[in-house]
Amino acid sequence: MDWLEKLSEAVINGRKKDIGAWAAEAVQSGLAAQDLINQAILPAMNIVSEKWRQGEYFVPEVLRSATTMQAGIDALKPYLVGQALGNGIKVAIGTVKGDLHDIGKNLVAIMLEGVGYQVDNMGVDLPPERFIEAAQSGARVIGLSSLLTTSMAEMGNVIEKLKTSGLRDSLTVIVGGAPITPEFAKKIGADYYAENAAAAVDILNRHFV
Amino acid sequence: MTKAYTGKERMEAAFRGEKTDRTPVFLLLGGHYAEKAGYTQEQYLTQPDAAMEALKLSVEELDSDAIFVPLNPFLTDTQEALRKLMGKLPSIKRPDIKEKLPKWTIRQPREDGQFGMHLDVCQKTADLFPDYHINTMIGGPWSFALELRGANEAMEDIYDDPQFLHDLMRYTTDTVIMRCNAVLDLGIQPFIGDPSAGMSMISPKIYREFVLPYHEKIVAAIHQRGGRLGLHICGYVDPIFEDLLDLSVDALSIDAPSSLEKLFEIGRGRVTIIGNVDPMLFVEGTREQLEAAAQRCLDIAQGDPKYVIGPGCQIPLQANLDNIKAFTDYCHQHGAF
Repeated sequence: MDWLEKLSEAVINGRKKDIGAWAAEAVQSGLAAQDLINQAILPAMNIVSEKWRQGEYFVPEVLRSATTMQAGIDALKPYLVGQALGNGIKVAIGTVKGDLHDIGKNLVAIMLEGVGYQVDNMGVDLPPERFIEAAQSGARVIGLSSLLTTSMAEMGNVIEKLKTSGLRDSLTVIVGGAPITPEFAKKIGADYYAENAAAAVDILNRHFV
Repeated sequence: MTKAYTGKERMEAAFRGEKTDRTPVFLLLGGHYAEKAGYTQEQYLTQPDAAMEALKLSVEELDSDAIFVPLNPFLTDTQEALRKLMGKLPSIKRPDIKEKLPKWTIRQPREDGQFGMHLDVCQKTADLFPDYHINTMIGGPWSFALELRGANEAMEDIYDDPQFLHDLMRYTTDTVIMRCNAVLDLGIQPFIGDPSAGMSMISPKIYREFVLPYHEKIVAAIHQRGGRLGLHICGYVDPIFEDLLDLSVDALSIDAPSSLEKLFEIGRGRVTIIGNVDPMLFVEGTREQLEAAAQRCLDIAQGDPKYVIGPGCQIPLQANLDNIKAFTDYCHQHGAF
């Protein structure tokens, strides 16, 4: 059995209910958990991201693959003994005040966690103080999400409060959401704009290399 | 002497594919004119008389042909006001929905909380503006289903419990039909807004399986009673243009990310097309940019009688009133047939 291919296909096809059992069998067959993650599960998510870029996959398919990836990694974590998964950089991500939308933000959180960031997915409708607390608690990256034109101005408010709190310079701020544009991101003083979850992972990986 | 058409006459002609004096203009506004009318946003969103005064002022200043009934619970500015009043964003998510859905019955519109109150505002608007084409936004069945179930949970249902999603869609669809009929009874055109049904959220395959049959049901129900229906799906919908055209809705409003050229290429004459100037231009753009955007749309339409010019989606509340005025003035002048 080619377990690397099987786990890769599981992520690509969203076989969330099967991947945990398959991952355990793969380890029992003699394969290292770290190899299964690095050589099958994570590369599969890159394939999914490419399908998203090409317009073959959309949010539901990518979300299913991402939660399948998460299930696979969770099943393999007990076998990682002593090994850290990824860079462990702390990311605090949330949807700003006035907005309840969270699918895109959740996708970013899952994909970042999958590649080894330590993600605090703080939820929705968040006042600036929550992001300040996150920064004070050790987050190096602040991710802001907004789907509504009526709440996107809150992103600028958060960044401003981070500045006046003296925290801004030690942080990387990345923003995203349907009405957000690179111009808007620049205008409010964000470091990066991410068009989608895959882009967010790429940007942060390049930033922290 | 050139006949002066009313907004209502222009829009009716656009539905029939007949020309009047110019391309009609269609604006989806909220409390943009509240302050100018002497009210706070809170007053606008809690006092129907304040909303009517603000709407009157916008109508006087802009003279757009189609107007939307204010204080609509499906629009973001109303929800934002509710958040400020309640201290939190209103949410209708029901964690126990799988258990409860089989027992739910469709609520009569007048018993339907905020929607019931909205019907009163619909009546006031119809009485005050007889010469305008009056619309109100009705939340579409898919977006409604996602709000009840939770968007993340619904995305998992697509794979793990599709039958439940269909059951939920049947419930939301019947509710939407009930609401559409209620506003039609007042002489107002329902405009279905189904923001989560676009390709920013779902794939064409998922749209065709879980949404299209229910959009078809709504169109059939409204046409059966002799009514007209508009449809708007936010974001990018090019991949489902043919599906939307085959729905035979009376008006199809497209957002800025969708292609007006492509829709005219495949759909000219098949539906009344509305759109699709970028709403953010009204906030951040210059007069020149707005005029250029308007001209681009008019050039694509080539004087088509079944075209109505307007923003791609609701104009954000932060919009510059001078920009809105500049846009409508340009359309009035340059949209002449």
